[in-house]
Amino acid sequence: MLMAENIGVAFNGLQVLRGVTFSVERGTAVLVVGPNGSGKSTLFRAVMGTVKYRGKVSVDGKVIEGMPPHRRFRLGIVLAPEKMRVAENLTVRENIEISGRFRDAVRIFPELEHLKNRKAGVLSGGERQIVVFSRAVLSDPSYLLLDEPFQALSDENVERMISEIERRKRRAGIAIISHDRIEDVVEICDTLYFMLSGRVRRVIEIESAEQAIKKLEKYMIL
Amino acid sequence: MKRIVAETAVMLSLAVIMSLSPYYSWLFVLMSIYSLLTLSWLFMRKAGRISMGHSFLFGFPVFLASAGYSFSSEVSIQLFIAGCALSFVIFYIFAEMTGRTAFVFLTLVFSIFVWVSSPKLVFEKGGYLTGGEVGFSFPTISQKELHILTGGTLTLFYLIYRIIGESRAGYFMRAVGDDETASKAVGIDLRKIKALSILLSGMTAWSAGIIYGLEFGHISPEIFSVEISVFPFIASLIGAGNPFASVLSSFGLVYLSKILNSMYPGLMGIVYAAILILSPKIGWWVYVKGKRLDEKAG
Repeated sequence: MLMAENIGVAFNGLQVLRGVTFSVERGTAVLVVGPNGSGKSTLFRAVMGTVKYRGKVSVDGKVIEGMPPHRRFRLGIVLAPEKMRVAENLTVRENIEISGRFRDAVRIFPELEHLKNRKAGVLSGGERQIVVFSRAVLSDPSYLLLDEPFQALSDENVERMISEIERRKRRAGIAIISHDRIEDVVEICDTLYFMLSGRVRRVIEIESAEQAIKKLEKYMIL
Repeated sequence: MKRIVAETAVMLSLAVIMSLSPYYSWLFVLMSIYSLLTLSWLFMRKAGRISMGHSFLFGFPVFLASAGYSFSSEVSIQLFIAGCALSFVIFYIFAEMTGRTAFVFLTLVFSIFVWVSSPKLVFEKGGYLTGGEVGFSFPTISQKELHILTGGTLTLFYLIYRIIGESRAGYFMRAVGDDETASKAVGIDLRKIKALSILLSGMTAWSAGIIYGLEFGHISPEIFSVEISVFPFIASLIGAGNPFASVLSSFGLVYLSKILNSMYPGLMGIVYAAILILSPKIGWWVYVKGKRLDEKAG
């Protein structure tokens, strides 16, 4: 299990996360939602170790305090960051080969084949997003943190991504932050975290997508 | 791979052609020293660190070695190794301590500090004062040997640069250079990659420094000058960041500086200043051209 307990993060004296507790088990998927500025991305960054935080993060019972991101990665935690962050001066193929075999990425997204020699800096938003996602899943994570993975994607690629997440979920724990396609994502998730002002306001165990959406609609407009 | 072989063949042909006249052989060595300096700078830029104080990395070990040579060859070698280690550690600490922008200014300020303070190194040897503004003597070798050594060193480091660029370590360096946060997220060890790029950069600059000493038989504090520090930035700007074009632009800039400075001493300094002032516009033009080429290739 990937467990973050009582996580606090402050930037320049401003408290962004206040005692957030969050967990994801292998074989499950969780969805983290909340308005902009609620601290969702900061939570993922704290778990990955790319920001300083207070509190405790453990993976499969092992506390990983003070561990740099590349060592957390070796323990199986992988973050696909928001804002479609890729290495702009590398080609699509080179970006993906940082994590794994290019042909495995083409199996998920066939259009990568004709984009392979293009520099990532000249890709469209949707194309960049599939590069970010491919890079993350090809490293075979035990715990995959996806921050806004569906942004700017075509319906076809959303479908492909969701089925890949479902496939990966069999042996990995997956946490997703999303503002888009919540109805579809809820279908494959087991737990829903609603965050507001740096705190987890509600944890909803998903029995059915309709029930979860109904509960969530009490807190935000979908 | 074909392209790398073709580029290497062009460089080796230049080395052979320029060996035919003593003046051009001397010029080839000088051009190669500056090309090595540019390659060294490009290694560091690959991992996202733009140095404006590269004269320190280039000049410090050989400056110490030349001071040590006043005593004995053994002291010279020991001081050279210590200089390499110290310059590596200082640049690594700078890269760890600072962000990208601060690194540019910190390296520039530091190299100017070394440039200004190095003439203070004066000591008495056999009743004579040595060092100061004049500097120290350094051993030399024959022009033919130097020509072969320089051609070989330039080819070797060019191949290392290109081969590493196509390797996994090269991808990591470029990924770190583009986006450190995204690189951390896919498990790249930033410290290792920064250390590797500074080490490769250092090895190239240290070799260039040794050849510089052997070419002139003398090292003065001018080896730390701002002109040397900004040279690789200008050469890379003109070469659009492409390693082969940057090597050729280094050759061109050295040749141009010989012509302009013989017409009016210091004229090349004005050209450098003009390029630096116009660099955002030149940089934008290069970016747009590069993007168009990418789109065509895609």
